[in-house]
Amino acid sequence: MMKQLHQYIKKWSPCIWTGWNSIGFDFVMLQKENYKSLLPIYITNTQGSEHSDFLQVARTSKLFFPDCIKTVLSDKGNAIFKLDSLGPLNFPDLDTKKFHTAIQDCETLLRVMKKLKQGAGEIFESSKLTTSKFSTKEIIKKEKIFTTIFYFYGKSRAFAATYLTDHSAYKWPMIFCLENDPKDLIKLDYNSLKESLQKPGKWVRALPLNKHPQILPVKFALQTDLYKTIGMKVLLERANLIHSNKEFGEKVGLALGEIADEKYKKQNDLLSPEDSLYAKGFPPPEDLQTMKNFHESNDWTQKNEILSKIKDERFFYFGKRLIYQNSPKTLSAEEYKKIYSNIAEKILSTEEVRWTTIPMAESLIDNIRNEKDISDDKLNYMNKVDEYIQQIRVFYEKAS
Amino acid sequence: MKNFGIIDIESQGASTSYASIISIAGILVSPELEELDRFELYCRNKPGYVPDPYSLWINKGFDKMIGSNLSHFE
Repeated sequence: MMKQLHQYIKKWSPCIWTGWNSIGFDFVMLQKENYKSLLPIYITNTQGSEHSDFLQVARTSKLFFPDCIKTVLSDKGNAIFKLDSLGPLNFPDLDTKKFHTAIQDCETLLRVMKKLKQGAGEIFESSKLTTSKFSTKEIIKKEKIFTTIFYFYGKSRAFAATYLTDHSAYKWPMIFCLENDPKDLIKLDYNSLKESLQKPGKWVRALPLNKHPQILPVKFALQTDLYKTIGMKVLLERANLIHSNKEFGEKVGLALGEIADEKYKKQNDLLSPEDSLYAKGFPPPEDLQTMKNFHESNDWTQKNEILSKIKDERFFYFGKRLIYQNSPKTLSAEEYKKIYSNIAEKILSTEEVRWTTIPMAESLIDNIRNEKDISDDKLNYMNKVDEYIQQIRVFYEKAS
Repeated sequence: MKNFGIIDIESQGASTSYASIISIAGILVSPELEELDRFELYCRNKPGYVPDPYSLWINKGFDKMIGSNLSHFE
């Protein structure tokens, strides 16, 4: 599947790749699958292609154009943006049985995009300007005050903000939220400033450029009660004060970098290869060619030989896993046993771990089967899944 | 103006680090949102990966995952 997928990606690129919560899930999942398959990891957001996320565009659209799309409300009165509730509400002709199949979710999203384009055209057009890191950076540096949207605790909120500095460790822009008066903050010495940055109630926020931030003219924030009360004159004074004190921004960037370094040191260095994609950086350039050669060969024995040239241990590990999954006989008996036993140990574990183990799956199946009024459909489905899980158990229990 | 490549992934678990994709679909549309192309791919579960039963119930992916003649790799 991954090789076929990459053929489509190449055929369609460059384009703006999009999805529903795609920045939070689909693109991350895809990058990690590329990584584990020794394929170009960032193929959907390099060489002219860009990432966007229409969940963020929909939330922003609803905030300023409430009638652009219908949503159901949560118990707390917040709009719910799940495709399986938005779909039937806005497009009753859609087949609800197919929700959560990949193609149906794409079709629903396309209809949502058309609806947003029609009902919140200004937001739709603005969202296309921030899919590229470079254009987004240009906009936030050019516009002294702009509106951006952050989402927390089930709600989207508009902020009037100004560019402050770049994070000295993560390099992404940090923006100053202009509902705060910078006057006293600017006077703080370095240690007090660093302390203030670690307290809740943030006056500075990260705006990662690769996460499709929503950037709009300041007139949108000025529609909200908070900024109507503060007024454009005061917002402008605050932004001017920030920009006339360059040293303040530099100190903030530096302090944030130090805070990040301290946190990083506290983290465990023993990350698993699965968790190491972002933490351990890009593959060495020489490995890129080796991985290309690995894919160009159609012979698993040859692939195994090519793999021996890989320098980065993460890609060597995943390369061996690919051989185990696709041509186990190609591995030496010792290599095979090592991988097989390692998998057995992981998936038969009774500890609470971050991957699905067999005991975890069995317990989940039992819970689902015990649901009150479970339908016959669901029960039969779970029985089939259980049978499959038992086959995996039997195969890997032989390792012990 | 660039086209949009709409994609959606269904996986056999919720963790982006430890689960794997069992289905991915895409629709390519023009900047005016007119459909130009589409694909829909399913694959078998990777050997050594335990699917999360709850995820499989949500995406109804079990039968296609079991019946697919395509490996995750190919």
